[in-house]
Amino acid sequence: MKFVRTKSGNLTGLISLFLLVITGLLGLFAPILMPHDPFAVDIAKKFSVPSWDYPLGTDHLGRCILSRLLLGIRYSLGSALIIQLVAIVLAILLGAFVALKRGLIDFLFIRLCDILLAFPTLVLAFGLLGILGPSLKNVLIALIFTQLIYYARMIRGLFIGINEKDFVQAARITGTTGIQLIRRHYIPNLLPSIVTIVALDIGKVILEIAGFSFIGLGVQAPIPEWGMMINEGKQYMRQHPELMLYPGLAIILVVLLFNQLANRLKRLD
Amino acid sequence: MTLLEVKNIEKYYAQRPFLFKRGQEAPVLENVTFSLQEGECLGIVGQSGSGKSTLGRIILGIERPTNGELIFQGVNLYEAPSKEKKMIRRNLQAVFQNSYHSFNPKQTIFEILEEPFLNFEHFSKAERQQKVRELLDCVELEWAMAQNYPSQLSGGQQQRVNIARALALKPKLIVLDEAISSLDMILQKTIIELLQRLQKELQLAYLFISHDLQATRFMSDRILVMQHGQLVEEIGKDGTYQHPASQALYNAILPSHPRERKKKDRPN
Ligand SMILES: Nc1ncnc2c1ncn2[C@@H]1O[C@H](COP(=O)(O)OP(=O)(O)O)[C@@H](O)[C@H]1O
Ligand SMILES: [Mg+2]
Repeated sequence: MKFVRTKSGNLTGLISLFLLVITGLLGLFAPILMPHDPFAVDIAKKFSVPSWDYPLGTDHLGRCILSRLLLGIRYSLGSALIIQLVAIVLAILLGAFVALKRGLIDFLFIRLCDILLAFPTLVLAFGLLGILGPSLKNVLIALIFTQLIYYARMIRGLFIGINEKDFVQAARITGTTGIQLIRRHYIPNLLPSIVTIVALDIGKVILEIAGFSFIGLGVQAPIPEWGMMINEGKQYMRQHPELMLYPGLAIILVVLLFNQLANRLKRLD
Repeated sequence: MTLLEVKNIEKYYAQRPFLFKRGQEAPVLENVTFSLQEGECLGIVGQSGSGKSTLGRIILGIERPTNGELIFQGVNLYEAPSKEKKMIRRNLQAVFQNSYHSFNPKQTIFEILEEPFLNFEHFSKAERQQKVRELLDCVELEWAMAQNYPSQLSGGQQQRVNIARALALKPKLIVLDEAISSLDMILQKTIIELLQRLQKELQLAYLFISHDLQATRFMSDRILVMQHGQLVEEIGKDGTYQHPASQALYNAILPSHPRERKKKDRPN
C-alpha cells in the first residue's frame, strides 16, 4: 500500500511499471496473441514487407517477426526474471546463514567471494558457459551463479548491519531465534533495498542473455530470444536492417523501462 | 533466596576476529563477582566506559564472557543444555537506554508486544490481544496505541512500551541499562515510580545500571560501584562510601540550589 501511495507522486516510475506489466502479460499470453507460428518456415514468403497478415513482415526464413518478438519476451524478459528471482532467494539463504553463523564459515565465504568477484562477472559467466556448453539452461545456470555470488556477499553485509541493531538484541532477549528472527526483523527492514537492487540489475541481465546469444554462447537458433534474433539478422544487415532493428529496439525499451523503475524505487527509501 | 550469581566474570575483546587472534586488549571486565536476591533492586554505577553495559550484555546472554560463571535460579547458564537455557532465560529480560532503537521500525506496538507470546506460548489471536491489552494497562498506556508505530510515540511512551515488553514473559529479573537516562527529569520520576510499583506488584528483581548515582540511590537497595571493569565498592542503604570512584560520582551530582553546594562538599 505504502509503495503505491508514495509512488503515485512520480509518474515515470508508475508508467514504467505499467508498461513492464503489459510487456509481461504479452509474453505470458504470447501463444494466444501470436498471429503465426513463430517457428513456421516458409521460404517463399521471406523478407515480406509489413502487411495486415504480417504486421512487422517476415525474416530470412519467412517467419513472422511479430510472433517471434512476442514469444521472445518469454526468453529475454522471462529468463532474466527467473535468474534474478532464483539468485536472490539463494543469496538470501546463503548470506543470512553466514551472517548469523560468522566464524570460520563466514571467513571462508568472504575469501571465496572475493576471489570470484575479482573477475568481471561476464568473464566468469563466459568461463562457465565455455565449460557447460551453449544452451538456454546453461545460460540460466551461469548467470544465476554469477548474480548469486554478488548478491550473497551483499546480503551478508546487510544482515550484519542489522545484527548489530538494538532491536535485534531486544528480540533475542524475548526469545526470538533463527527463522523467526529473519522473518520478523531482517527481511522487512531489508526488503526495500533488495527489491531495488534486483530491479536495477534486470536490465543488465537481459543484456547479458542477449549478448551471449549474439556471440553464439547462449540460446541457440531457432529459439526467438531477442539477442538470437539479432544474431540471425546480422547476415542481412545491409539489405534488411529491420531484422536487427526490431529485436534491438525491444531490448533497449525493456532495459530502459527497468532502469527507470529501479531509479524511482531507489528514491523511495 | 539468591536469584543470580555472577562469579569471576572476565571479558577481553580480541583485537582481531578469528585467524589473526594475536594480542589481547586490556580487560573490559575483571573478576566481577556479586549476587542478587529475589525481589531486590541492585544498582550498578560507574563512569561511562567502566564496563557496566558489557556486564549487562553478558548477563542477558548477548555476549559470552572470556571467563567466569553465571548462575541464574540455581542453573549454570554456560553448562545447561540450550533448551533448558531458553526456558530459564525467559525469566531474564531487559530495558535499554535508547528506547526508539530497541524497536523494529516496521512493527506496530501490538506486533512488538505479542512477539514474546509468539515465541513461548500457543495463544490464539484473541488471547494475544487480551495479553497485550493487559501489558499496556500495566504501564498505563491506552489500548488504542497498539496500532501505532514506535516513531509515533513520545520518548516516555516508548520507554513504557519497552517496559511492557520486558514484563510480557513474567520475568524474575529485569536488567535496566540506563533505562531512564535519556528521559527528562519529570519523566524519569514517573518511570521510576512505575518501575517501583511494578516491582512490588510482580515481585521483580532489578539490576539498575546507570552512571547517575542520584537516581540509582533512589531506586536501589544496594549499589555496586564499578571502575575500569572492576567492582570497587558496595554502598548500602545507609549510603556510606570511601572509594575515590564513588566520591567522584557523588561529587558529580549537582545540588538543587547553589546554597547546598558548600554543605555537600564537606566530607562525610
Ligand atoms: N564490542 C566491543 N569491542 C571492543 N571493545 C568494546 C566493545 N564493547 C565495549 N567495548 C569497550 O568496553 C569498555 C566498556 O564499555 P561499556 O560496557 O559500554 O561501558 P559503560 O556501559 O560502563 O559505559 C569500553 O572501553 C568500550 O570501548
Ligand atoms: Mg553503557
